[in-house]
Amino acid sequence: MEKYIDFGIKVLVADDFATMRKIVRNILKQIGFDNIVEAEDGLAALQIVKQDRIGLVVTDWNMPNMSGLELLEKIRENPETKHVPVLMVTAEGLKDNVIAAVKAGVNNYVVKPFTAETLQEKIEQIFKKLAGA
Amino acid sequence: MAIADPVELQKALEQLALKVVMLAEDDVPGLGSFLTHLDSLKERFALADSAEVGVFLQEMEEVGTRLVLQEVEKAAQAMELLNHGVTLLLTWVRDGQVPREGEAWEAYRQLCQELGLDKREGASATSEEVERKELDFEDPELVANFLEEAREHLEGIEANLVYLEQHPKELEAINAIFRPFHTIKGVAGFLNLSQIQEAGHEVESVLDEVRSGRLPVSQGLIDLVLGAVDLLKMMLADLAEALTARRSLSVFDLTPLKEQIRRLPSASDGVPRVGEILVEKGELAPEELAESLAAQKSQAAPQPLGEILVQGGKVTPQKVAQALVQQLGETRPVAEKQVTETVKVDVAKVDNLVDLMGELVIVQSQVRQNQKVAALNDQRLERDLGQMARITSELQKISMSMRMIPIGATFRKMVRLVRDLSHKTGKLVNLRLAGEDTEIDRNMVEAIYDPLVHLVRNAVDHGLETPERRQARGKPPEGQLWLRAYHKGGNIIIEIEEDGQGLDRQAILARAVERGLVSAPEQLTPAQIDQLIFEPGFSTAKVVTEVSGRGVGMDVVKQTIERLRGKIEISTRPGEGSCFTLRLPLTLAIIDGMVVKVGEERYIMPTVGVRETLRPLPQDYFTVKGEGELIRVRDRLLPMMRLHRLFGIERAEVNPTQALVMVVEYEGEQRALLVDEILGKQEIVIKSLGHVFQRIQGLAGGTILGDGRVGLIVDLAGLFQLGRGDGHNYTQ
Repeated sequence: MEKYIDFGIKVLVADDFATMRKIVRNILKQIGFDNIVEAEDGLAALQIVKQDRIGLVVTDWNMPNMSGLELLEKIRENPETKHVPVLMVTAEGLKDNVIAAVKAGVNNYVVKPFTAETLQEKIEQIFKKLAGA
Repeated sequence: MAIADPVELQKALEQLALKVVMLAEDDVPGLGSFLTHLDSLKERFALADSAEVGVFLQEMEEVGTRLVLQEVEKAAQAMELLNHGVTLLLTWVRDGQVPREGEAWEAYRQLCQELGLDKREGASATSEEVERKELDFEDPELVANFLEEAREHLEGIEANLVYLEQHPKELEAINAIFRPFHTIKGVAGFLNLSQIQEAGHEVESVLDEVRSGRLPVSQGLIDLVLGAVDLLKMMLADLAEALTARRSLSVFDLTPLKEQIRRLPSASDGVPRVGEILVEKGELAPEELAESLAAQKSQAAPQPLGEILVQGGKVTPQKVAQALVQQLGETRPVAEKQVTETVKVDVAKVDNLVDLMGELVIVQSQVRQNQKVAALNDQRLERDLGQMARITSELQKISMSMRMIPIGATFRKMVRLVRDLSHKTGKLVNLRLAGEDTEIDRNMVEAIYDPLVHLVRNAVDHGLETPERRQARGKPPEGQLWLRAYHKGGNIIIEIEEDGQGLDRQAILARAVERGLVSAPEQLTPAQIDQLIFEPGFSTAKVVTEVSGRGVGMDVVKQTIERLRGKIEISTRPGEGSCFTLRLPLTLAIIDGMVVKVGEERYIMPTVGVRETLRPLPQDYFTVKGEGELIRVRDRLLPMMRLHRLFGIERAEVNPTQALVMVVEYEGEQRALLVDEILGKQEIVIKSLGHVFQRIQGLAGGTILGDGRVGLIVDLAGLFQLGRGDGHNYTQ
C-alpha cells in the first residue's frame, strides 16, 4: 500500500479554524506526513500553492476570503499548479458541495468527522491514481 | 427527436465511452470528469430538452453522483450501468432515433431501480457509516484550543448578528455567521462533543435556510441565534470546567432551541415587493403601483409586475432591474482581510522576554553611565553605545507590543450588550465603534472589561432617552452611542459618548446634599458637580431600573480605573449628551515613578498618586494627641506618615523640616509622606517580588534602577491601610 504515498512531500492544510488545522495535522502526522504547512483561508493557501512546492492540498470547503471550491478552481486554472492534488474536506450532509468539487476536478474528498484510516485511504487513492495504478 | 449535430455528438459520446471504460469506481477525479463531460454534452447538444433523453441522462448522472458519494453497494454493477448507458446513447445517435418506444431507456431505468439507484427514491439512502473516531480526547490541549477559538467565534457571531439585525439584506453578514457555526460544529464532531455539534448543526441548518432565502431575517431569528450563542457559551463553559475538573460533560436540553426553530415563520413575506421598492425609491407613485397591480390581477395569465410597469411607460426597464437586484439583497464586497501570519506563543515566554528586555535596558544604561567608561572619552565607543541604546529601546518596544492585543474583541462584546439593553429599555441605540485596532496590554483588557460594561450600561440606561422623549426634544428617535479607542501620549484613551440628556446637575446636587456629600452647594462649579457622581454611595436614578440596578456605582468604576493607574473624566452638556473618557496606561508592566531616597534605601512612588512635594517649615508641623503627626499644606492639615518608620529603615532623616514631604493621594484621600529626598522621575519596569514576598503590604513590586540597585515600588492603597493601622504590619 505504502508504495504509492510519498510521505516526504509537503502537505498544505487550509482551514480557518486553528483547532481544525491541528486535528488534520495530527491525523496527517499519524499517517506519516511530517512536512506540513498551514493556511487560514483560501487566499493564503493559494499564495502558498503558487510559491511553494506543495505535494498535496487538504482544504476545507468553508473558509473566509476564498472558499475551498474557489481555491480548487484557481489551482486548476493556473497551468503551473493545475496538477497539484487537492483533497476537499466537507461537512456531513452537504452532497451538492461534494459533487461541485468533484466536477471542478478535486482529486478526492472526505467528510467530517473522519478517522485517520479514512483520510489515509483517501490520500492513498489519490496517489494511486496519480501513479497510474 | 432530431439531433442537432450528430457527427459532433457522436464524437463526444465516443470520448465519453472511452472515459467510462477506463473508469474505476473509486476514481474520484475520473468520475468528476465524467460528470462534467455529461454536463457539457447536455449543454452543447441541448439534450436535456428532450423529455426522453433528458430523463435518461439524469439517471446516468445520478448513478455517477452516487458513485462519488459512495452510496452504491454494488459499485461494479453501477459502473457497468454507466457503460451500458453510454452505449445506449451511442446507438441512439448512430441510428438517428430514440430506441423503439423508449424500451431501452425503460430497461435501463429498471436496472437502476434494482440497484437502488433510482433518482426518485430520494437521496437519503447511505451506505457510508461515518464512524465516530475517539480521536485523542485525552488531548486536553486540543480541546483547550477549541474552547478558545470557539469563544472567539461566538463573539464574532454576536457582533455580526447585531449588524445583521440592522442590515437584514446583507448576505455577507449571514455568511459570516454561518461559517463559524459550521466550523464549530465540524470540530465538535471530531472532539466527540455531540451536544455542541448538535446545537451547532441546528443553527447551521436554520442559517442555511436564511442564506438561500427561504427564511427571512426576522427579530425572532436573531433572538433565536443569540439564544443559541448563549447556549453554546454555556456548553463551552461546562466543557472548560469538565476539562479542568476531569469530570464528564453535563447534558443540556436542546429541545427549547429545536422548538424555537420549528416555530420560526417560514413565510417569504419578509422580502419586499418590487413595486414597493420602486415606490420607496420615488420612481413610482403609489397610485400608479395600485393601478398596475389591479391590471395584473385582471390578467388571465398574470404578467410580471415589472413588465406591466415598463409597458405602461411608468418606469424604465433599468429601474426595474435595479429594484430586482435590490430585492435579491444588496451584497457588499467584503473588505479584503489582510493576511498576517501568526505564531502562537506561550504567554509565560513573552512575559519572560519582556522582563529580560527590561533588564537589558537597565544593564545597557549601567554600562553607559559607568564612570570608567565615561572616562575613556572615546568618541567611537560613545557612538556605538548610543547605537546600542537605540536598538535596545526599539527591542523593548517590540517585545512589549507582543503582549498587546487589539481592543476590538472587548468592544464587540459591548455590541451584544447594547443590543440587549436597547431591547430591555425600549430605547433605540445606534452603537458605533471606532479604533478597534488600538492595541492594549492583554492584562489590561481583562481589567477594563467590567468598568466598560458599567459605563455602557449607564449610557444606555441613564444617558439616552426613550424615543418618545427624544422626539419631544426635537432629536432623532435613535440615540447614538460611540465607543472609541485611540492612543495619545503613551496612554490609551477610551471614550464612551452618547447624545442623550446629559447629567442632571440639579438632581446630582440635590442628592449630594441629601447624602451629606456637600455642605456648600452654591460654591461648586459645574465640573465639580459632575465629579460628585463618583462619590461613594451616590446614585441618581430616581427609579432603580432593572438594568443598572442598585449595586455598584460610579465610585467603583473610578476606583477600578485608578487601580489601573488610569483616570476617568466626564464632560457633559445638558440636553446634548455626555462623554466619559478613560485614560489608561498602555501596559501594567511599566509605570511612571518618582525615585525617592529613605536612608540608604530607594523607593518608587507611582507618579499618578503624587500631588506635590514640599519641605515643611517648623510652624507647619503639629502633633495632635490621638491623631499622630500632622503637616499643614495650603491651610489643610494632612496626617503624616514616616516611610522610614513604616518600613523600619535606619539612618533616615527624622526631622521633617530637614527632609521632604510628598503629598500623595489615593481614592480621594491625601496623606503627607516623609522621605529623605527625591532622586528623579523615570519609567519603571515593574518586576514581581516573587512568590514569597507577594503579600507584603504597602509594596507593589520592585525594579532594578539605572545604577543596578533595587528599588521597591510603593503601593499607596496598602500604605494608607498601614497608616490607618488597620492593615497587618509586614514585620509581624
